[in-house]
Amino acid sequence: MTGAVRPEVWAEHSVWPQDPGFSRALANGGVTTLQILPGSANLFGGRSVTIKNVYARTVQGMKFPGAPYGMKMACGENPKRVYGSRNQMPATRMGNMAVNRATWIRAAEYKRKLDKGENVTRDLQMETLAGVLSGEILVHNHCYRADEMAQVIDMAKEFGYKVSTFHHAVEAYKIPDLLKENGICAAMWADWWGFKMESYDAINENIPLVHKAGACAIVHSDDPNGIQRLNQEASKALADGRRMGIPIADELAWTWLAINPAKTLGIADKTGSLKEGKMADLVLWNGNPLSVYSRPEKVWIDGALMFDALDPQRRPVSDFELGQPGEGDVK
Amino acid sequence: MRALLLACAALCATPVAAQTIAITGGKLVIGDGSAPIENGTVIITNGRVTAAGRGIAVPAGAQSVDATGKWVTPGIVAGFSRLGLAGVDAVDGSNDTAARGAAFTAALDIAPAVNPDWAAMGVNRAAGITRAIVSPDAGNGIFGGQGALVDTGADFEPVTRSKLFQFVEFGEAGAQKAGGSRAALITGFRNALAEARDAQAGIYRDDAQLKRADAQALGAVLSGQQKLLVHVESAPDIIAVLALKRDYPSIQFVLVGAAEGWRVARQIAAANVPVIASALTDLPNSFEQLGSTQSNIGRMKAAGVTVAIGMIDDDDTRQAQMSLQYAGNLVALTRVPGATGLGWNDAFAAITSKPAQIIGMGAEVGSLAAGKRGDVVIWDGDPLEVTTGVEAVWIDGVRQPLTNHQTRLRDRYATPQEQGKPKAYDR
Repeated sequence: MTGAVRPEVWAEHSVWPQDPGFSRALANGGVTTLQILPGSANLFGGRSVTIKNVYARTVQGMKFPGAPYGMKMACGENPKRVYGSRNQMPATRMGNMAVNRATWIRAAEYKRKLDKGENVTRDLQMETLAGVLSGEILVHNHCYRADEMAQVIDMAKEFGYKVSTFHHAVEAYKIPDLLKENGICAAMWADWWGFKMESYDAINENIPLVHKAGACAIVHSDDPNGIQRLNQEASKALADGRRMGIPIADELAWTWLAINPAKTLGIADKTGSLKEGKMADLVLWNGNPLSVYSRPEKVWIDGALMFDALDPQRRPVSDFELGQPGEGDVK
Repeated sequence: MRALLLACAALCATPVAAQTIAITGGKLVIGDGSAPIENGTVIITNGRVTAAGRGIAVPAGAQSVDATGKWVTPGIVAGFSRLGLAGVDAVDGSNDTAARGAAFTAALDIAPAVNPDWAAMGVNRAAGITRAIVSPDAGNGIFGGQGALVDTGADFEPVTRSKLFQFVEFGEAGAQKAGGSRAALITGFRNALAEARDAQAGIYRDDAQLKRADAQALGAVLSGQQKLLVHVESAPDIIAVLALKRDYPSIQFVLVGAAEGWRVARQIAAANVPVIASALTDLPNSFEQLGSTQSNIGRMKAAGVTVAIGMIDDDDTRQAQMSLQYAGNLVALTRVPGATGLGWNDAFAAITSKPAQIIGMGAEVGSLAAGKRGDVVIWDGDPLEVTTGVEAVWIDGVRQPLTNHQTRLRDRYATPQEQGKPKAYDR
């Protein structure tokens, strides 16, 4: 919120490796890999980080080996509200696009110099943006409205970069063909809606409609509570889709929270499915994981048993919670 | 809605029989914590349940609804919500949850602000929520004002009972509003009640902290005529509230939130104070929620506390529908070693009869006993399972529409591409 263009910040410099939320995502959600992104007040929010859900003393100890960086961008109300309330650019959606495009022009020039081997003064903002333009850094774009996603797609074409995923994408169901055509995933909620204008057109069938169109659908949380129930969120969406006549098999719905997010994070060759040679990241559920009545019983990450509902010693407790009320409780 | 029905009964030439509905053949849940009944029948006459159970005879001329293979339950009661108070939370003009710039606090009556047109009403109705305990949020002081029980029916009479309770913020939020400390909060609270007592005697002092209307409104709390819903989270803060109960024995305290209630569950039970708790809070979101766990409700129930599920500060203007999923999660806990959940029957009661009972409206809503309002939902499966959908909803015996902004958008975009005409013509 100190400037709409902040691609120089890196989420990993803010990740608190003792966050109690990691243990809840593990024990209740069976989450083994997470992408953590900067917020959405800025048009260019900075680099995301992908981590394995294993506590370590440092964030470096948690980073997913070999995962590419992502870069957060944001459309719509948040940047417009934050800066507009100060009478600064970008105060409108057209302001959002103008600042975005002006920034990409600078980035393209920086990259041109780099590619030609010219001397450039090192610029953290431009380094990240040049990484996007060269395809090494994946764009994760917070964007709710269908029309704005279409604007971003045009902008990406104008500057020759690719959007990996639209996050939230509450109106993805209005343009699933466009998403498919451009190879862009939509990371969505099952039924969170109505908190601001750009979330007003949410529908419970968003995820299955995107799936049905052949585009890449992801169920995401953006939330320390929602991340504990991604399986239930997928199940709700699946059931709502079936009720409107979209027959999706259970195992295909599971792609929404396993292989599809792995693809969009650029780590599908390492995790996201149980294939020979991949990291042994798996969950043993005590029942059908698409039922509200099921919970993870055991979670392995890289083959190591990191959670066991039957063994309190396999329940991680962050430094923050030691010696405090509720330490080591079931949560 | 009741008034409408009565007016119609008096003035319309509708045969009485047409006002009797018999829902038969379904798996019937009464909502009072009893086990589901296979092949049950519910009879609704003139907006009220007249019979529910097994082997109930269908009155001659009743409109019959076959629910074979379905589940039939009372409508869900949102245990704590701000449903009907915001069109879109972030749009100030549509958001009546709190009055931060108001001259008044306790005197505020939320009833006229409840808007049956808000999309959240239709969405929650379609999800099986038929009643909601609706509370104002605290704005300019610790007291938020007087809350109501509302229905989600598609009509212009959403309020079932207004001025049911007073809402007050304790804990961290209350301390901040009181001037910056819990000491100021407790002193302010006691002073407010002293001024309420003065007001009852017609005394208004020059140095009064409360507006006259606020002091008068708190008289109903002091006398126990109106319940006092206290938002409190930490165990020490709960103990402080229980201490106030000893000093003000006539006040009908209800704890709301109570993330650390499990730590003092015996004390809460001994004080006979009911709780409307957040179901799945399990993170130390603040220092007053350090000990939070999803086992909170199960443990309090096991200790003898009367507990319902509420949505305090949890998308409370829109997502009462989540209370079903939350209840299902509490059932899931019964299979997690070391955790304490609720059995299915108790979990369902925690979103139907328990909130109704806690708010003092148990004789009206929350279960399908004879005499209760005809709030009935037919589901295509176990209502606590996330895959289950709603097939029909009655409120006060009136069949409700289940279409809303979301379902209309779904239908319009079932095929995303335009079919000959722009989507704007596709209705």
